[in-house]
Amino acid sequence: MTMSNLFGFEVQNCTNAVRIRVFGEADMAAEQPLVTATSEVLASGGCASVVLDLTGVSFMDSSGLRGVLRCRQNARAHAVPFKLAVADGPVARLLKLAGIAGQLEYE
Amino acid sequence: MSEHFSFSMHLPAHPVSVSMARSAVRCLISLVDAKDLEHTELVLSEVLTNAIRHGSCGIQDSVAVEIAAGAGRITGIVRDTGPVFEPPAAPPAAAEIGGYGLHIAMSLSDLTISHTAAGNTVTFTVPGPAKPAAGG
Repeated sequence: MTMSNLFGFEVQNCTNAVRIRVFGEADMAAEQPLVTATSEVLASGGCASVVLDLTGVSFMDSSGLRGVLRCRQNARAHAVPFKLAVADGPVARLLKLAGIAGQLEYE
Repeated sequence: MSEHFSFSMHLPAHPVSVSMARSAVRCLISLVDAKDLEHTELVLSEVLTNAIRHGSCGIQDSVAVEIAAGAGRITGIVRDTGPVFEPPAAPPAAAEIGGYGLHIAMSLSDLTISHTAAGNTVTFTVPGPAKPAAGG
């Protein structure tokens, strides 16, 4: 499968364990849509946990990271456990470069 | 590598321009090292985002990008017309959600910021001269 550069996401809800699968390039243009999607999931209530699945992300910069950290902040405000799914690749490298890889929770 | 190649573009100060600039840089794929190209995409993304976020007043402003590749190096110049900005003195604290951009850019490139009456000019070179390849 060719990985598209177009940003997008898909929300999967399985007995209130929500998984948000993110695709494409997570940059400045993607930050706010990602935060809004997560906020809507959290605001809908009944959400027991959130996994932000970044394994389909083809590029991430600090704006994408900021989006992820804003989602985490929002989950914390709702007292909802928040984890990331990250594969080897651009996201893992960016988290390491930013020095934040060890401060995040992973699935 | 003996070939030398360069291009320039003016982009609107809008978030979608960042992806467009990265796409343009990927045309260097046959000329430069793959790791250097990946780092250039990330550095350009950070510098351009910074110019759009802090160095512009609106999409009517444009940001000028120049890229040159040759002699095993890639040089980028990003010019904005906004107020003066300085690089952060230290990496953001653990609790911060932002402020990582220029630190990441400076860790992967040799980067300088200069100011003129017209705005800010950020010049970067990948790979940075004294730094080992970062990011694994």
